[in-house]
Amino acid sequence: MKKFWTKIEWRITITYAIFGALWIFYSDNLVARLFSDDLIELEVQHYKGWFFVLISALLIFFILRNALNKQHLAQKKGEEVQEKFKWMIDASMDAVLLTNPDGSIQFANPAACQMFGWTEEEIIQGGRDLIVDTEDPRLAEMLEERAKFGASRSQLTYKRKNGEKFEGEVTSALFTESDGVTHTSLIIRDISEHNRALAEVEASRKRLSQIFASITDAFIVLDRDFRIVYANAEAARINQKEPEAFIGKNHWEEWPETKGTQVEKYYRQAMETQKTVHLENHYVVPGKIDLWLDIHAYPFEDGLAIYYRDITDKKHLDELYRQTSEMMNRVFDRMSDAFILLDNEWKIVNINPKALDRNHLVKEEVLGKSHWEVWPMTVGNEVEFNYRKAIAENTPVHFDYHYFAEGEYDEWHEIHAYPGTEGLAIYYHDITDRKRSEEALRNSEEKFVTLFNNSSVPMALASYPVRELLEVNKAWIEFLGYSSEEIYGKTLTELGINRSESQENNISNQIRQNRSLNNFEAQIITKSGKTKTVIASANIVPIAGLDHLLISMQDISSRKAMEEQLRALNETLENRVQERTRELKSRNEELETFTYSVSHDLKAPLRGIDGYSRLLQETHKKQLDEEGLLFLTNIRLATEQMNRLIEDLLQYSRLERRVLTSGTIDLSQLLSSLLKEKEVEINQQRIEVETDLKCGTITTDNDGLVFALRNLLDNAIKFTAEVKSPRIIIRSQEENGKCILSVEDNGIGFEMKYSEKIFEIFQRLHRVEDYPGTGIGLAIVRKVMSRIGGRTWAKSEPGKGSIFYLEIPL
Amino acid sequence: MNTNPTRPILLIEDNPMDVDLTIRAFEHNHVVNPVTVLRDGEEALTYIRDYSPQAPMPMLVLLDLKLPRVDGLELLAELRKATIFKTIPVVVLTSSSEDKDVQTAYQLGANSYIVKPVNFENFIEVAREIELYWVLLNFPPL
Repeated sequence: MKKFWTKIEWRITITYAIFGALWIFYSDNLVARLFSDDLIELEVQHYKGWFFVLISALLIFFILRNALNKQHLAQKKGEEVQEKFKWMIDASMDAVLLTNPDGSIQFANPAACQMFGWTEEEIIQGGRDLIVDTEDPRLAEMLEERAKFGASRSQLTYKRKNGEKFEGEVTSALFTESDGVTHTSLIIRDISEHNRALAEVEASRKRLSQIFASITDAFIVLDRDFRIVYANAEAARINQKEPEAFIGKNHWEEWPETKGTQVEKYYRQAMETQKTVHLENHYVVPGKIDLWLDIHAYPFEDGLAIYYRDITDKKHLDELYRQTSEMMNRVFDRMSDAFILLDNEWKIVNINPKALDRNHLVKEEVLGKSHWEVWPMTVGNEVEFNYRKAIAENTPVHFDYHYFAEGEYDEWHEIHAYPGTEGLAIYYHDITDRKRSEEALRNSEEKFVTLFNNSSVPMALASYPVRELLEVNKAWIEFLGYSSEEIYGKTLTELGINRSESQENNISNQIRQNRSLNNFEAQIITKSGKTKTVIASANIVPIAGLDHLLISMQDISSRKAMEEQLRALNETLENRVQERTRELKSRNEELETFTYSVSHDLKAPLRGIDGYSRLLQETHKKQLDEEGLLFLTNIRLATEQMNRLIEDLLQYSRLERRVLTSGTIDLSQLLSSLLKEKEVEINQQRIEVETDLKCGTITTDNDGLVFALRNLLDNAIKFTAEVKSPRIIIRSQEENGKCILSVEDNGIGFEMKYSEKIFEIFQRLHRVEDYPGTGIGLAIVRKVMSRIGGRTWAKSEPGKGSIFYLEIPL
Repeated sequence: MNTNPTRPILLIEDNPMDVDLTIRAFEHNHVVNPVTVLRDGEEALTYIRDYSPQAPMPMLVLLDLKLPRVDGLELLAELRKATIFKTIPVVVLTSSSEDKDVQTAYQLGANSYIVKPVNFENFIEVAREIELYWVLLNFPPL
């Protein structure tokens, strides 16, 4: 409810009341001030009253007139509007209903009556349930929506009088009338027909789409602006896109590469002339698409329907066919095989250059002639037989033919003949070389078989990797005792020839790793049970495309036995050597003991003899005559000689036993110390000593060399004793990696026939009384030299002197 | 100079001729010290064992190497083990000039090694030298 003063009538009333009050109050004051005369004042008061009434009456008149006019106009307009709405509602194709809040119907227009089949009265009486399918779940939704927003639009299921249900679109709104009651308006349109029509259109569109989609040609539809309206699956496939992706795109933007090509020219031509065009286009997008398209464009008023087909394969095939036939022709001409084409009458239809050359023919002369006429020698033999057979049985034939005429030709031809509906295609080539090599191979194979069989080495051929024996030679049979029937398909292990598992593993490992077995020493057992040692070798050899194993073995049992004997012998020998060594060692020890004894026990009696001889000489001199004394002197001389012999012998044996010690020796130093030792004798005999040493230092056994050199010097001094102006020259010089040391004297010398004998032990060339000595010195020299790996020899001439040489390895 | 002529010289030698000649050689040189002769190794070992400390200490041992039963080198080893004879001078007097003998003798503690000459004059000379050095010149341990 509005506040009352907001209403215009109240405002006017209140404004009037205020104005009236102010008028009364101020107008009297004003009059009183203007007119001081009470009488006049009274008069004016009187007129003033009348004036106020007049103004008020005028005001009321205008207000009333205005208000009455407005109401009249409004009423008139309302009637007009209502009339129009009524007409509209009555004339509406849609059903219009007005309902009350309780759901009962207040009004239904004629369209509603027609739609539902009831009269307005029946509808008003029947209410909502009469016409709405209350089971429709959308009803509740609609009511809810309307309550919420004041209006709604939805589809509901309605019922007709005849029970038929139909789909209606309903627009409903709530409105409140001037009486404050809320009503509902419903405008219902029967859309079942519309839906059916829509469904039909949709179905037909789908059918068309399916047809377009399923046609194997690509199909696109362009509008007059070349915009793509439709593209089917094949078009999408060719362009590697989804069909929807094309829709709405401009053809020239979608396929810019077609712009400016014959494609554009043809399409525009089709569009303008409204005539179908047909073209083949090579459509290339580098790196992506490379297609040949066969395009048909059908113009219609609104655009262009374009069918195109991928003919790439066909194009390729065409190209291939073209190339192939060109190639075929080339091949045919250049074929190394001779080629002849016969028709069903045996006439030559085609013949290639090779065939012509081979037979010294000219193409033009033989074309059209019968085969049998050109090659009469083939009549009645296997050539004719085979050709006829090929045609009769319609199967290709293949045979080798010996093309032979004494003194003219001798060739082998391999002939292939292929029958066809139009005749016989023959080609052949010369296999003379192959035939000959095959023959040679056959001969050589025979040779190898003979070799294999007659080889003295046991050999076997086995499969690989199973190693089942397939073939063995005579030697193998003789060696192992199994016949070739017994062994076939069996392995060596199965036969019991190889009984050692570790050996078997070893063999298979080696073959697997090296694809061969090389000189493998194996123990095998023959059929008679004898164990043999063999050296086995095996190689994987391909025979007829399959790996085989060629095994050979060599019986080394006897060799093994010999080896064993040798080993035993060696052992015995070793034992014997050891035994001998032991013996020798004990002999050596004995010898040592012996020489030891010699040194002691032989010398002791000598000392006795000498001692007592001396005592006799000294203390019993008076009892002895001159001869007796001489005897004693001789006894003592003999004793001395004996002593020297013993000493020399000891030295000799010591040399034999002593251990060599190698050291660096300065020859000149060594020599000067030796000369120093002999200084007395040298001076006594006035010996001239010269040295000429070129070797410098040498590496050898010091003591041995000293010994040898001292002996030579002793000899030189000794044998120059009787010479006038004695002279000794000592030289050394290098020769072939050896140092040759020589001691030369101008002494008595000796005959060269004794040059070797003098180096033997106890050999003397002079009497003791002339030149004392034991005959051991030079033997010692030789011994020393041989022990240090050197040599010694002498040159001499009686009366002129001698040269003794020492050769010392450096 | 040696002032005790009573201390004996031990001569260990099996060959009677050598013993005789040695003694004669010493006499020839007027050696005053008594010479005690032991004829083999075993006798020498007995002597060592039975030696009483009251007896005069030998001044010098002259040792032959080639002795019956216990040989000279074995004896030398035993001698050097005995407390009393450990320090006594031993002169090996032998016919052997073998390096091995010389080497072994010194290793076992010989003080000198002399080869007996066969020539009697030389032998007398050797005896004289021994006496001069070992008996007269040398101060033996007490």
